[in-house]
Amino acid sequence: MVDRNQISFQKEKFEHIYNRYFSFFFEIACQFLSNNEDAKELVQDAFIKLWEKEIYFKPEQELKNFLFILIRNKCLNHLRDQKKSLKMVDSRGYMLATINYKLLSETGEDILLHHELIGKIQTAISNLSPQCQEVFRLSRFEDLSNKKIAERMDISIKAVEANMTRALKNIRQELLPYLSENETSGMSRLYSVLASLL
Amino acid sequence: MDKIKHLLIHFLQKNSSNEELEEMEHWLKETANRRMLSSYQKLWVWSGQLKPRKPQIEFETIWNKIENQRTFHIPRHIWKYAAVLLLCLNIGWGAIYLFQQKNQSTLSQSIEIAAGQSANSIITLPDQSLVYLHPGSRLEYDFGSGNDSRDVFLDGEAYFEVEKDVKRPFTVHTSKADIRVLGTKFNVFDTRESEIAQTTLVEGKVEFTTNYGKSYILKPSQMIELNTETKTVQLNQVNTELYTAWKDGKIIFRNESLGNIARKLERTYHVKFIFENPDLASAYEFSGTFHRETSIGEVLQMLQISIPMDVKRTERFPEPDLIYLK
Repeated sequence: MVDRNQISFQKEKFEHIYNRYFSFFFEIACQFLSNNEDAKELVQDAFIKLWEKEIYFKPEQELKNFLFILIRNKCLNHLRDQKKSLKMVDSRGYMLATINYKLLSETGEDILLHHELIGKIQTAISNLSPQCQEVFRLSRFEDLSNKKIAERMDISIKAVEANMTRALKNIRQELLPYLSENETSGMSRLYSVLASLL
Repeated sequence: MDKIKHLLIHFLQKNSSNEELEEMEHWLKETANRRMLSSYQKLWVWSGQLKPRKPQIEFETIWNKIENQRTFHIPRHIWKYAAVLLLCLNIGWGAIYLFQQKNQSTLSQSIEIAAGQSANSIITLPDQSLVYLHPGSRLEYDFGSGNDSRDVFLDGEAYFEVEKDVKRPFTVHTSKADIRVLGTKFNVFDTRESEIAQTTLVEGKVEFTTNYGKSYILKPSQMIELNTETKTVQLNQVNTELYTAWKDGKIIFRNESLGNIARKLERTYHVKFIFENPDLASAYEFSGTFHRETSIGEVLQMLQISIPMDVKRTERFPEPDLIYLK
């Protein structure tokens, strides 16, 4: 009944979307969930939904919004379950789930601006002082602990943390126009930023 | 301040100590602090995408999962037809009805405007004030006789951008309250059928007076909610965008129960929800932003993906469609 060629064409399109967006949404889920395996499972499920509902043909902006809605809600449900089950058992896990739930529920669609802003972030990082840049790279890209970074660069942990602080502060300063720290919420922010980038 | 910076960094690196987490939780009680952390999280997520070796899961893994699941996969073309049909209907209802009534006994002219069922109406009043009228709402105004006040009467929801005129105060009268302003931007919700009256102030200053004579002064970003059934008044700091997004054709849900969502959708689309399983109304929460151009079919489809439920729809044109949730 279903044409073989058609399936392979659809698969190709879906694969393209998957390769383009998986790691980004995985990164978001990891940011809010304490267990990366949970995050992986959850984001995979979302992509399977994307296939099942044939949404992968929609324009990219809509697709991203759809995946974000899906993944945020899945993460929120996951965190809510965790809050319930960990309440009396694991105070650290409970605290993490509570904080992350609160943060995620206030995270707007402007987090999707990544593809538009990645160049600006790259510039912001390369504008850091060499030592600052090295510390940031080792922490963010090599996932090294502050202690390991201190050993490798032969500086104190204090110096590592001071450099991290400076790095984040400077990057935030350069990206400030694109971060919605004022009242305007995600969506309108998203569109005004998109408009300003055009 | 330094201490906070370390808290932030450890949190992003996911190696906060228990004490730091506790401090974090306390620190995050301030909205401004949450926003700040949220910005850092975004930067963290974004910069993570520059990793030379990104965590990847081979496409084949996910494809195998799909192949195993796909025993009876029926493409849902039906939704597409439903969406097109709904779009056509929406255009039909987009009209605004204007009635001009001349009052015989006085020379004043009262004008009544009823918004259509589906599109927002944007009205410029004689004093150049702007009103966005929510679908299904009615607005009446009388600026004709006497020049000392501006009075409008509202049943439903409207967003006002009032021109400043100190000599002529602007008052919105609703079934439960009067809202008096000088020059400002604010949203009012009060239908006769509902027990709730809401006013959200975006800019400026307004005075909210209940119909039993109690007055409250609102500051920007405050929302006042009067419940005539419980006879309570709540004054809260809110994100005004959530209450005014409708004027730009957006529907925003933030951790809202299905019951609330259904009520909002009923006011936007020509539908009525019936909960066949009453627990469903409060069992799930959902967040998301839709544009008004999104058809109700697509909105339901999105909801259904996040919330396990059965949706059945009965068309009753021109009466609102019934949507059964189970």
